[in-house]
Amino acid sequence: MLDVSIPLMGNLSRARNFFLHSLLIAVIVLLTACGGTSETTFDDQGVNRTAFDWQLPASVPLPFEPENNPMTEAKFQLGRHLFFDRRLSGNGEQSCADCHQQNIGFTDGLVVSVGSTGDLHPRNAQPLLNVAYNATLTWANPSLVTLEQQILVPLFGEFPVEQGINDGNREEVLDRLRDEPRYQTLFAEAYPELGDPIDYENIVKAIASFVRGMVSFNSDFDRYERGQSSALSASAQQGRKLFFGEELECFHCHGGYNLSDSTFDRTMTFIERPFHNTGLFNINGTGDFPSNNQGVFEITEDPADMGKFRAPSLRNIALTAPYMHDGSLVSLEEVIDFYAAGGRNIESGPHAGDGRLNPFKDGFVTGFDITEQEKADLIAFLNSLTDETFLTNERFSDPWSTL
Amino acid sequence: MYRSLPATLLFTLLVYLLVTILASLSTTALAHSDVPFGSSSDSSSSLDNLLSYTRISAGLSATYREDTIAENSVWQIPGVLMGGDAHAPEKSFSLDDASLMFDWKHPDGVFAGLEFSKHGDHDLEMEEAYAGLDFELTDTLNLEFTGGSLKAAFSPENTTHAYQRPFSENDLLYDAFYGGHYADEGVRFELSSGSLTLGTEIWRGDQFPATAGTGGEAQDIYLYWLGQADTHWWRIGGWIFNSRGDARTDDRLSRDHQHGTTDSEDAANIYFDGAQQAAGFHLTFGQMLENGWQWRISGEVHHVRVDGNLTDDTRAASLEGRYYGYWIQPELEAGKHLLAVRYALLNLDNHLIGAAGESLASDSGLTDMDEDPTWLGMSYRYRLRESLAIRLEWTHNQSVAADNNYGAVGITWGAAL
Repeated sequence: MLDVSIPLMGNLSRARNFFLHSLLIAVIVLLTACGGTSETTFDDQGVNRTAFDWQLPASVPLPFEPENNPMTEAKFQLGRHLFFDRRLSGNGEQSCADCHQQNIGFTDGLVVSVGSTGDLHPRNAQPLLNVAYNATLTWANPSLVTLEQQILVPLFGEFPVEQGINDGNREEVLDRLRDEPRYQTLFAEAYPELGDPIDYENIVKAIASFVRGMVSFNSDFDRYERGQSSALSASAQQGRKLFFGEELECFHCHGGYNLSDSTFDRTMTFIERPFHNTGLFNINGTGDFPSNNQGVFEITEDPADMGKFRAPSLRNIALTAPYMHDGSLVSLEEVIDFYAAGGRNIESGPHAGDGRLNPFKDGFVTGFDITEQEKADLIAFLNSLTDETFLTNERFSDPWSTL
Repeated sequence: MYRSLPATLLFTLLVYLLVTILASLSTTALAHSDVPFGSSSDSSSSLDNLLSYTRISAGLSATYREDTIAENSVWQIPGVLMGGDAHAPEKSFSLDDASLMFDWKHPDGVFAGLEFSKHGDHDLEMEEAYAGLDFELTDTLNLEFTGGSLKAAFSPENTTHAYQRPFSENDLLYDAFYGGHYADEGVRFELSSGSLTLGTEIWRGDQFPATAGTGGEAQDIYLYWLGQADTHWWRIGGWIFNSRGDARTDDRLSRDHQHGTTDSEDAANIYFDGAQQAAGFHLTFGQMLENGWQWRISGEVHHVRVDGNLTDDTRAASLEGRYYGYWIQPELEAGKHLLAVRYALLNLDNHLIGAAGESLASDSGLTDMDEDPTWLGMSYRYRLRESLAIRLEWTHNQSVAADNNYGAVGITWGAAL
């Protein structure tokens, strides 16, 4: 037995050792033989298809294009001409650009805008940049979600009258455009499939295309976020920390790449359209705002919507004074003081009331302590949001001025 | 959609077949805790059944590291969703980890254990608190049941501390796939017969990559063959780990959340819903040489499959992740000296479907860095005493785009009290 078992055990042991060594070598070879580099691939299911050169940085998603008005360069250029053309108004005296001037960030610098017939608009003109990313248009209308809808308001609105086109002059306005030789070419290029394209539907689509194409991501802040650490001064960097900090809470309503919580782009499946009451008014302690300017309440008549307005993008904010929906704060210093106080207390007059105690005020407007240095840092950061190139970019400039 | 039952069954069958063949070649068996180079404090050896004991043990590792990666931010390996306790090693002097363990066992097979640990500058935590029963089903078959808060036993690598292994830094693959290590509340059933151990663990799913509650879960099954013959010894085995996450966020960002940039705000608000299935193979092989020298080599291969959806407040995309990784670690030990090299590699392929795929990938750290993340380390350890050693390390860490080389010096201590 012994004579037989010992060689057998020895053979088994050698076989096992051979097997284990072979296994070890095989595992090592397998490990080192595996090839191919890590890769992340995407299928956007065609959502990023576009015929338009948006001229956006790679890090910025494309804005939405309506299916019934896809972007083209020809429509953009036609819209640019119409935007700067005073003939596109009832009395021929006001263009879109009169309330949206390029050198001051496409706003007008007034407390509230003035229409072509002298009507005062109840609200401050909003700057036009990155409007394509707005989840809603204007200050406080949840139902205005496309530029094609919104542009009808300044063209045809009656309360107040802005560009003042009405049933009485609409053909006259079209005739003015038809008489302009450049429009014959521009309309034909923008709408080659149509025989007589000079009509209001195509005018609206063209202006919407131009305004949609007014994108800006070239501020010092943008360069800093893209990794150029020297783009922001030390003070602006401190201000940036304050802005994105939980103490001041600014970023909750003015965060994200467009510095507004009411932002929408092609990557988004779920759309948020928030509005906020910042405590500007609290007339007689009832939460009321002035009767001509009550925010979303004017649309919904829901008391909880009293005084709610959209948080605008803070891009180019240093250029667009005065501030707030009614232009009632004249400087960035005043705006910071207003938020530091957690609202505004109006002690006398028809609008008297403590806005800090407005029952519909947003939960993030609670006030904060801030030193003069911190305020200066915050303003330095807000100044860094200015895109100087946008103010002089010929692509967005008045095409008639070169005639 | 997320489960691949045939693949799971096939893998189980293959592992079982492999181990059965290998077991038939084995003539001598080692109990699970008898590994000469082992670091496991597993209490499941058949020898332990015959004994009762009360043990208190402790250990710590502290290291001075001249540099690190992700010094001022949360560490993100490009190409994989991370979470749990996967933290970058700390620069300068830091406590890698420290632990205090209590083990008790009664002659009738009842046992219990408790372990307190502290990792880096994070809070002291109770890492394990368990009780169980160990009994013989037959003369050759032993069953152990353990319940409580446990470190998963699907791989010995999951249970080691920095003072027990040659390197102060955690395993790159475990940081990438298991949140550093997997420890959770659950139950373990372990069947052992001679050199074979078959176990399964069912978890609450309260740890990365799983989530607890509705929609979250985790389970694993493992099989090991631990053997010794002549001057050789080995441990060979594999596992399958399945987990599901429901609205899982990177809890490292939630804990250390700062709005330093708009990106960090985005990353903290991204949720993952879906499954992560992992399968792994472990091999350790060692040999005693003359003059008390010994060499050993250990390594693992991991395959991980992630299927689910990424969402935030406004965006959504589906994610298919197919990951592969391995680590291999040869060691040479001579008396008080231990020299070890470790190389780890991750191959991370992701495919995102949907309009927000690219932006969510960018915000969540899934964008690739054009090469495989790797980690290479060399370690020399000198034992000053039985329980005390100094350790010198050099690391080439290329787990992020900006690779880094750094040296480290540290001490390790581990002893029964």
